[in-house]
Amino acid sequence: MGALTMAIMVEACVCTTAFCWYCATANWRNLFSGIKQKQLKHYAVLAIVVIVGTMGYNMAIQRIDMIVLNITGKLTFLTSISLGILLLKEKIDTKKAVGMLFILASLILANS
Amino acid sequence: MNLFGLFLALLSAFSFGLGNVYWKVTMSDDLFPRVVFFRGLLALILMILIATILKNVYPQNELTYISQLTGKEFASYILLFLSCSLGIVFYLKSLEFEQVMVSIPLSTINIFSILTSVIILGETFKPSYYLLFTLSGTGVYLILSNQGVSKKYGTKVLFTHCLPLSFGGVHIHCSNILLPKWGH
Repeated sequence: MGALTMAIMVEACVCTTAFCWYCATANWRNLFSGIKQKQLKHYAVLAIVVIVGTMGYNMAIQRIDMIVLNITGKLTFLTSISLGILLLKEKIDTKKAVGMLFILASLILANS
Repeated sequence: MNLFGLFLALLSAFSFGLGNVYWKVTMSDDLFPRVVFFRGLLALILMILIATILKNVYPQNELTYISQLTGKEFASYILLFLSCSLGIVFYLKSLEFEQVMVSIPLSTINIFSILTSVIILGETFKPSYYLLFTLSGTGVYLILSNQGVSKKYGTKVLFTHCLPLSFGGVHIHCSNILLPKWGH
């Protein structure tokens, strides 16, 4: 594991734990006092998702070619849009879809 | 083809995609951008603390790359923190104005990253970048042209999307300085 992966993991784990502990034990200071238990749960889920994503990417680098790995960025793009439609019930129209295809083509061109 | 490697790449893509969408769930109030910023700041302070302790108390350590940071690398680390944190903060702000399916395409275009690489890192500007810029510009126009919104709102959307992109460009530049020494 490289230093950067380690740094990202340490940041995510240590800071999330420290932050949750800090918010849970102190009414501090109005800055974060509005955060409720449910929001902390969301934050923890996000931290786990980021750790899994980062670890997966860094472990994949050691196992597959960069050409194949470059597809990951486009898959993330498509996954985000698909999950937006499925989970958040976002509406899509033809113009938006075509616009997205143009941007996807530009991303593919950037890696070619 | 290494199937486990492919699985990891797919897992990574799905996780990041889920993360991008999940941010929207947390945006019921204005607190998360602050949380993200202060999380990064906390990590930066921890890093400075660890680097100082290792440099002065235990110079012959296994993490020598931390105690041997040069001034330029150290400045890059601070810029990396700022660009990374502010990039996410402004991405989150952009979600207040638009759907994920609009924010994601606008946040992923490569224009700022390419300009940063060419201007700051001195990389070659390939002719294919003209086509890339045209494709990106047309895509942005098509996505935003159908919104039926006021000029003021459109400017706000573009502004909140341009900021994460420009910070993303600086982020890549700083990563390129640090990665050769730190490893991926």
